[in-house]
Amino acid sequence: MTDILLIIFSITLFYFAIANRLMTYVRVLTVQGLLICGIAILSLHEMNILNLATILIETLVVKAIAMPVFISHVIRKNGITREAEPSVPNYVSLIITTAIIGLTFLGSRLVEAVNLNKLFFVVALSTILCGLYFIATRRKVITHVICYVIVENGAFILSLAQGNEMPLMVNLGVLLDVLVSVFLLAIFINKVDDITGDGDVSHLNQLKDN
Amino acid sequence: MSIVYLIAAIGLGLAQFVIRNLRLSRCVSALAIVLQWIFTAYAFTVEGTTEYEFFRFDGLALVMLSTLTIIATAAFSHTNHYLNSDEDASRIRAQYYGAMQFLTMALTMASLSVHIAMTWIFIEITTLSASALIFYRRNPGSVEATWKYVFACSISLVLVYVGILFFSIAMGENAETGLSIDDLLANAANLDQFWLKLAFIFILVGYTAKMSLVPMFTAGIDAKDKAPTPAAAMLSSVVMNAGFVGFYRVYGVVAQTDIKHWADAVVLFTGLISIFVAAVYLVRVKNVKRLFAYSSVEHMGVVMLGIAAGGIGIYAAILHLVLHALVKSSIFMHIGQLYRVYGSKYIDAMGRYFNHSGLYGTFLIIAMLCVTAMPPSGLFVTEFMVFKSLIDGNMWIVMAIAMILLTVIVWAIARDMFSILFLGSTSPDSIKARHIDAPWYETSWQYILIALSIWLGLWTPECVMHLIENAAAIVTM
Repeated sequence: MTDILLIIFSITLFYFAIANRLMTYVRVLTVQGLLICGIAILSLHEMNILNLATILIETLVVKAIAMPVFISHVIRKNGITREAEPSVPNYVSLIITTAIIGLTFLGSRLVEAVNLNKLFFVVALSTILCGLYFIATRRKVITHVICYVIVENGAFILSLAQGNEMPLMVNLGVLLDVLVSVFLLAIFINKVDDITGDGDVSHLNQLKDN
Repeated sequence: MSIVYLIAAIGLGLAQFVIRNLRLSRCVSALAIVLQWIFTAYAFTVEGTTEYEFFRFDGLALVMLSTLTIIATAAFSHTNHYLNSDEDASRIRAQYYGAMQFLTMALTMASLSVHIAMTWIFIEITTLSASALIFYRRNPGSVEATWKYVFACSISLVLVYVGILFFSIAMGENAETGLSIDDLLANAANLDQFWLKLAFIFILVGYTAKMSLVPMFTAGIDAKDKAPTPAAAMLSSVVMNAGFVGFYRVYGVVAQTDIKHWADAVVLFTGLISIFVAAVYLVRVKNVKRLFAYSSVEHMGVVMLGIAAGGIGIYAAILHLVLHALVKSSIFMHIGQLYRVYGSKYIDAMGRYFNHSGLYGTFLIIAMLCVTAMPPSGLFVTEFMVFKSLIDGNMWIVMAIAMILLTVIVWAIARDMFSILFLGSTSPDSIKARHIDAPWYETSWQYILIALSIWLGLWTPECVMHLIENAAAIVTM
């Protein structure tokens, strides 16, 4: 069951690569949040109520509900155009995403560790790499925030990939990180919009050395 | 006691966010500085102990904590004048004071943490509080700088987090014990080398955003350029030191394993390439704040060379960090005055500074000597020791390349500083130097910091030497 969820998760990456609208991006985030929630609960070895609560808050409440709602609110409020406007054609993104996932899959055959689940590892690493690739090829500030959440999702799956339960404190730290970064960035976008007019990050290139 | 400090510091920080009265804000800030000094004094009385398994008052922590307390006090004093001279909205000012307090708290706790996840959390808090400080001006430049800083640092800290996870994988069956530095050291011999290498690379790259090293240095440059001068003074000194602490504690573990030579090669490469990048940018940079921000990249590169060379190089590297923090923070504070005189940050718009004020001009000359590591600068001594350690390690080629690059850097900085001091492209009559004098305590703080750096470098007191030797022992034990 976990394997199926993980495979669906990597399919969302392909979907993200070819999506055209910002709202589709936000929906991908919701789906990823739900999938992560399922994966996390299924891979819990022991049902500790405190652990369960943290994971539920982190995945279901924050990743699947709060963040997508918040980001779509920011999009609507600022009247950001609904087209995603990536700087490379979608089919190129699709090929590169496929290449990243394929190479991570092949690469994972080379590594060995006693406490590592390979499928988790492949999905996690390819999500992080795809997230970074998406950041590099998208122009809008808001899409950078969305892609940052994807990178964070990858890091979260990676924390499940190693068989040992991460201490609660680390989970809390991640939660803090995600929450504050995204909210800070989203609040901040309002300001970027005031100045650039359309939330296009390509305007943020005024700081130079000469 | 560290928990008491943490609660008190957070309380004062939250209070700052809601206080709208300038005088009250200053009183709370003064209280926070008193708290900082009391905690630092306390730290010295319990040297070597560990509190709540997470916070240790070892040599490294004490050195970094004292540096932080001194620079935070100077920055506080500087802030009083800085915010007084600007007629800013009370809400923005409250955010500034609050963010400054949270930054100081997070830096304090990050230097004490001996749990890699705990250090990570506090360094994350420094990103958030620093971004509020960079955002202070709320103009297009500061928006861009804040955006880049938050984004680059968030991505970098995700990389550090991934590195921490790889550490956990490297521990294999023993991971249940936890991720404190002691647990990692106890298992150092059993760590899986492949995962350890990956973890080290990720953590090093992640922390370079804070340390201002290649590859993630760019965000820090914009941040130091756009942040208000007291905040830029903190960003270019103690924030970099906190990033170093995060890296150094992990390096301390790696140094006990078989991959030490590999790790040293990586660190050496990072250091050398950082000096190269700094040299390239310093030659063409026109903005005085960015000039000194790139100079920080160079100094951190030298620190990395010392760490990689080992032996006396590690002692030199840590002393270099402290001295650099003192020198660079005083220079950034002075840039505030420079800006008020010329109304610009661009070197072309400045000139004949010495004619404007002998006191300021003298400071800039001393600062230039110190930052380029010319005698009597304390940094001269530490750079000399770093080069000696490179020779001891038979790294002649590295030393030769570094020396050539440093010569270029000295030339570039001296060229620009002399232009500000004596030449100027404009004739003396046309310089629109505004005769706005800073209060005496502002300039005196700058002189105190720079004098402290010279004194610590040339006549390092026994107790400081002992602390730095303890800090170096993390690697060399």
